[in-house]
Amino acid sequence: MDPKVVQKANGVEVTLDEAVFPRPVGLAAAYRFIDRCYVLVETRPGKRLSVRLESKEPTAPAERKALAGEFRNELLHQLVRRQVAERTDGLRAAIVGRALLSADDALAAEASAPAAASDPLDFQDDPLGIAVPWEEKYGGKRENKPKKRSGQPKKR
Amino acid sequence: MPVRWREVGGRVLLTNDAGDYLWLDRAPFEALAAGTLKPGHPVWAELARSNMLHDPETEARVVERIRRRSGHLQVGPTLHIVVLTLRCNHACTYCHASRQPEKRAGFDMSLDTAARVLDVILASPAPDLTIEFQGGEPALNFPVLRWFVEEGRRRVAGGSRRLWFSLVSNLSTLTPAQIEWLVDQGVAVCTSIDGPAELHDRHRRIAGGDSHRRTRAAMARFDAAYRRRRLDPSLAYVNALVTVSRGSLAQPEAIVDEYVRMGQKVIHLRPLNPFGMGRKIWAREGYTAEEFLRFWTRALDHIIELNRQGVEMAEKMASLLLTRILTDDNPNYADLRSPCGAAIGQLAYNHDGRVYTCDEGRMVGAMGDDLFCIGDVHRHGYAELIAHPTVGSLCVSSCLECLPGCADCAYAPYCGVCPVYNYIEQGDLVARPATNDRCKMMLGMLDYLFQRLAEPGLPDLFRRWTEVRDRSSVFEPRRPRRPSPRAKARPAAAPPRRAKKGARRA
Repeated sequence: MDPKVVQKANGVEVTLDEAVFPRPVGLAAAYRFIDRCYVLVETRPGKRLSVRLESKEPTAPAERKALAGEFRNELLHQLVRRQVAERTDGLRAAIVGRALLSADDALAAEASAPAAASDPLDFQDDPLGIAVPWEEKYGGKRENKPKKRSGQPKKR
Repeated sequence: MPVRWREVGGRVLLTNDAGDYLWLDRAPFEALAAGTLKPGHPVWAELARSNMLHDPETEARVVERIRRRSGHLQVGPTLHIVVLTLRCNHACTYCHASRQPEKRAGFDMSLDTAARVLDVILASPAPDLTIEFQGGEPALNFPVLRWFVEEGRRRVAGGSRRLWFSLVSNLSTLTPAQIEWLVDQGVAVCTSIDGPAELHDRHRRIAGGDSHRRTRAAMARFDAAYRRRRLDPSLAYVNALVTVSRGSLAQPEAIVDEYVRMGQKVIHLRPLNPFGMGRKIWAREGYTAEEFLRFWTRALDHIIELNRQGVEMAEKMASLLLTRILTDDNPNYADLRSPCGAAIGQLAYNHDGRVYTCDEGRMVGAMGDDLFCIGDVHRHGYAELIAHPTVGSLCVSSCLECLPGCADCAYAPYCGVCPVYNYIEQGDLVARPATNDRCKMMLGMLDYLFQRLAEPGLPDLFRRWTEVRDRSSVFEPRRPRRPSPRAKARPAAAPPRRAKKGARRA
């Protein structure tokens, strides 16, 4: 059976098969317990992950059993969350993107403008003068002036 | 077409993304699921009529309807909650608004802050904007309220944008002159009446112990002011809502009857909010989802019985859900949309200028956790606020179609989640639906409504609950009956003609 649960002195150790529960799932589930447990995560041979939850408060055996149960439930939640997120990735991007764009006028205008029509510059253009050496910009001396490229602003 | 399903009362309910639904018996459902149901089976035609079978025409029709049902994705933040003060003359037993005593200084919104708040609100791209004044008791800072209305109207005058105002108040501090002014300015008013006087006064505590009497007296003054202006009483009235506390659970019928006596046509049975101070007193006032559902279903049974006797009354949450079930209209209610309305549908402005994704987020802020604070009007403009990473996080974590438990739930086309609630109750923006009380409540309410919809006569009765009458004529500034030539020469104030359908509490 997976995951394997062993009761420890003041907590539990759960060993996961990463083929069933990928490592990010195990880590996300473990992270949920850091407010009430000290958490130790270690890799084990055979693509297995060991998560040790040590309660910060003294616990009775029944509480340790409940702790293991909660961790298993959280593992399942994180696994399903990951699967649903992967399955609905494109849908989420479309819905959330649309919602955020509608809330921001400037972004919406930028997104709806055809890139080629609104941007006549090519990749060599430098309208902000970023490629212009500072000596040239601010009057410093320079022996070899760079070759002027198209779209480069005039020297002040 | 992709369909979702849920077993309710021994039958199977099928729904699609456009909100269509169909009841199936177990045997044909199992045949459908197994892929053995064939054309010619009686259920096949029902599936086709309900847009559950795929063909290009159905797909085009369903896509168009989904677009209409998702209209909230196109408009940006329409609701702007402005907390004018944290001071309040009430000390409600379940208060969640981090109230301050009435006489304490330092908790009012200043005019300087108000000016910056208005700048942010008017920078929102939404064509319809509602400014909702909240508190504390917002009427205690009436000069700033008045400034917002007058300056807001001045700023949009002559343009195409429409600006609405709504005051959420216990009404007890309003003077007759203030009431007349609010009516003249077309400010919508919403108050709280928790039920009969004994129940209301037990929870809504005020010096003198007569909160119910004072609120009802102010409501009567509003009614008189509306009548003097010859406004249709079926449109011009003060909205009221119920905050359901433990003391309410035993008397749903008495609470509904109180609203009938008041002449209200809608009652909003709002569950107690576990945020802020409410959480500290949860042990005294709180209840389980199952207890709330028993209360709510008893109240609805009673309302339906009253409807059958000719009494006009509807429950607000049920009306919103039924609108999602029976129509393609989009009430744009922040709690029943995907993604939820946090920041992209509403913004909440604290008295000191801090901006939150929503009023619930502000309440979490009042608990000392500013996770949902996205900036400050003194330092940030609208674009910076909306670009805050928390906004995107809340969008992603409330996108129902992509959440564990919700993505495959039959009620996804009608429902909504609240990441702020999930954060407070479960320590994560994403809910664990099986143990989430809000989810249990939504499932219970929708189960009840669908089961009742299967009864003869109920769909027609419930359809009346979804009819929203246009009240915009009430919520525009009154004009003089005989304008002088000089007044005519002034620039038009561009009063709005139509209210945004389903605007919150308006």
